[in-house]
Amino acid sequence: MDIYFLGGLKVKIAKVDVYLVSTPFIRPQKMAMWTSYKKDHVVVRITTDDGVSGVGETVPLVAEFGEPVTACASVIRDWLTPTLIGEDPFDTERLFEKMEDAVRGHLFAKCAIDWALYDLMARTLNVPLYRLLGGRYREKVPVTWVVGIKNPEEAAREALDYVAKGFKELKLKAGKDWRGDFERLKAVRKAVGGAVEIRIDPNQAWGAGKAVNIIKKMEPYELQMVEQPTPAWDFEGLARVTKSVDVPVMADESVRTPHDALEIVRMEAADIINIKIGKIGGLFYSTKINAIAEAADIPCVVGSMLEGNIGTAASAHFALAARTLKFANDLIGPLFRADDVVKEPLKIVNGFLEVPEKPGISVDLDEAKLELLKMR
Amino acid sequence: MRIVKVEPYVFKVPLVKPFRTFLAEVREKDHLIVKLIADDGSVGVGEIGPLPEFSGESGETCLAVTRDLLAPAIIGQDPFNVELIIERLETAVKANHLAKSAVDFALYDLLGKLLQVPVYKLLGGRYRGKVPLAWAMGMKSPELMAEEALEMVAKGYSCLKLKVGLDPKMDVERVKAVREAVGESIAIRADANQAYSPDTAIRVIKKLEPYDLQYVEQPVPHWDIDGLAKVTEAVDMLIMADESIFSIHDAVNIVKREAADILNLKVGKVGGLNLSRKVAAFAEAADVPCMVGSMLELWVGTAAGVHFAAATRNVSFECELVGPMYYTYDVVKEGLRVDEGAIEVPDKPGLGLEIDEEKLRAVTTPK
Repeated sequence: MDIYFLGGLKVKIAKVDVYLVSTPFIRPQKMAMWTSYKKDHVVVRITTDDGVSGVGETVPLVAEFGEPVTACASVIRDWLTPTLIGEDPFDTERLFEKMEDAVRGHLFAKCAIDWALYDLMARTLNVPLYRLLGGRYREKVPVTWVVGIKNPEEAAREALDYVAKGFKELKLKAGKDWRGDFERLKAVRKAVGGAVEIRIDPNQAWGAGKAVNIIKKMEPYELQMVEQPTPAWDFEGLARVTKSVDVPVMADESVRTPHDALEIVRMEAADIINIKIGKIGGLFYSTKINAIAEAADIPCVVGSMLEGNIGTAASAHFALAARTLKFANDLIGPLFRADDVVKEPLKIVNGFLEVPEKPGISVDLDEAKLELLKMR
Repeated sequence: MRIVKVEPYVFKVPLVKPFRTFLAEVREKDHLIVKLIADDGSVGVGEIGPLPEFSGESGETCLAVTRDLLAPAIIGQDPFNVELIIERLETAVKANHLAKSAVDFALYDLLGKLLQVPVYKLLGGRYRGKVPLAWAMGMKSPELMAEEALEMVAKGYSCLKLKVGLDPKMDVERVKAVREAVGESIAIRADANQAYSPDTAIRVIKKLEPYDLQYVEQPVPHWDIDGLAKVTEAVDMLIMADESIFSIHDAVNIVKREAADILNLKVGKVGGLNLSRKVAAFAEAADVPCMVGSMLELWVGTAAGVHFAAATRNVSFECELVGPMYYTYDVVKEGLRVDEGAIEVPDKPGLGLEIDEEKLRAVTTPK
């Protein structure tokens, strides 16, 4: 293995490139609040003065979080890049403090930078990224198939289809109409039988009062967990649901910062935390939220914003290393895409995301695709 | 890559002068050195200075636990699989945090050497280039403590920690004497090492308030989280938890019950650097700052604290990484640079120290 001596160390960030791209979806994805046909990405490349680069991306969801790609790109160019130029990419504690001071929030933009920084560190040391995140705690990353909001028959057919492909855990999107959610769950459970885990995610739609009743009604269908039944801001409501039902409750939209995770612990507001790396500012903060969860014995799931191969690969390295993960993870973004900006897309085989043993995040940027998929 | 061998060594090192705390008078101290050897011949070295009165571990228990339980749990493992290795240490034997810390330090030293980077780069980078120190003073008469304080201030220390606890009245006198001797510009903290009941602690701490302390450390018994919370609530002084936190789970209870304002995050007490990072992350989310204390380690164990303090934003007090200054000898060829009350963070691969093998052999050979 080729090793650089970094002892006295002078690797410095020389350049940050920002690209806007759109990747086409294979088919529309319908959720409680939106339907998507394509995804807009900001792709970031950070290069050091010795010519090594790392890549990151962000796939913000405007409807939910209010950060369009154009805003992300401007925040990265105008506010974050100046804090990075000339700095050592390994100084994450200091660099994230600088970025926090430079611009409040904007966690999608910060995530793109974060992924590029971690890829860069790992490539500089010529090791796969998971080695910098705690090593290979598990051999492979189990992933969940997500069934969008559709009629019960269609949902059951899709579920069967993916169970046949090897998925062992399913997530049903829900929330538009709870009776429909109930019928969908019933149909899917009947179709797949008892051996497949099913979780349901109403993306905040039910609210505390209704959620308790709905979940109790769903209990006979053996839910693995219910994700974010209450509005993101309603920690009290989430805690009320968690205390009132036997099904484990997972916090997702409620956790965007380590402080939010701590609040979940303090209020005993959820049984599980969804570490959705793309929405919480990247691996730097994910590591911290993971530590908080581990201290409080709260198991976690790695979530996604349906990122492309770059974000999914970076997330997969985290998912190989983190001890708190006890369930399949939502890392299926690449399966939704007809095309992407990397050379060899990731493969999902038999319900597991495969992570090639290569330096950095294990996928490489494809310059030609970057040009081809440029946002018009 | 595999870990093929784990070699523990135990020896005693006499102190330059006795160190009195509420828990014990220390004249010489046990030390455990652990070497992890990888299949390519690379070696990582860790060290810890157990104090039975503090943690229930001695040199001999550390040796036995490392040799008989920790070594078999990690031999054959890939050293990069830190999370898995730490879990294997946890499940191999309950508690024994100091022995586990020594193994963790050796693991990070090994990783740093394999990647040719200083350990701080694996912990969050260089947040600070120098780690400011607090000089820790054993309990003595007020006059003798004032004398030592002046001596250490002359050497460049701008922060002093006073051991107290043997006698509440004298404790106030000790603090008063030191404050009067060094003036207002020097930071002072006091550590009672669990000496008081909650009520006594409240009374003593209120009497200490005029002397402008940074904080008072572990005033009540380690198990009494409610008592600690009661003191924290009752006084204006900031209160630090030390013996009450031996694991990441203890941090949860302290934060949930608002039992302390600050944590003494001794990297050698909670099980090493991997777990220390997790405690720091938890504390940071709760806006609870940390101070990196010590078990009076020699240079190897001290260096682990230095790398951690260099990398961790949530360390915001002068650190008590002064162990090496207390001993009559060490087993490294050269220590880190200490200047004007601060340690320079080393840039060499791993923890940045080289073992003096001849010396180690000499002190570990039965006479």
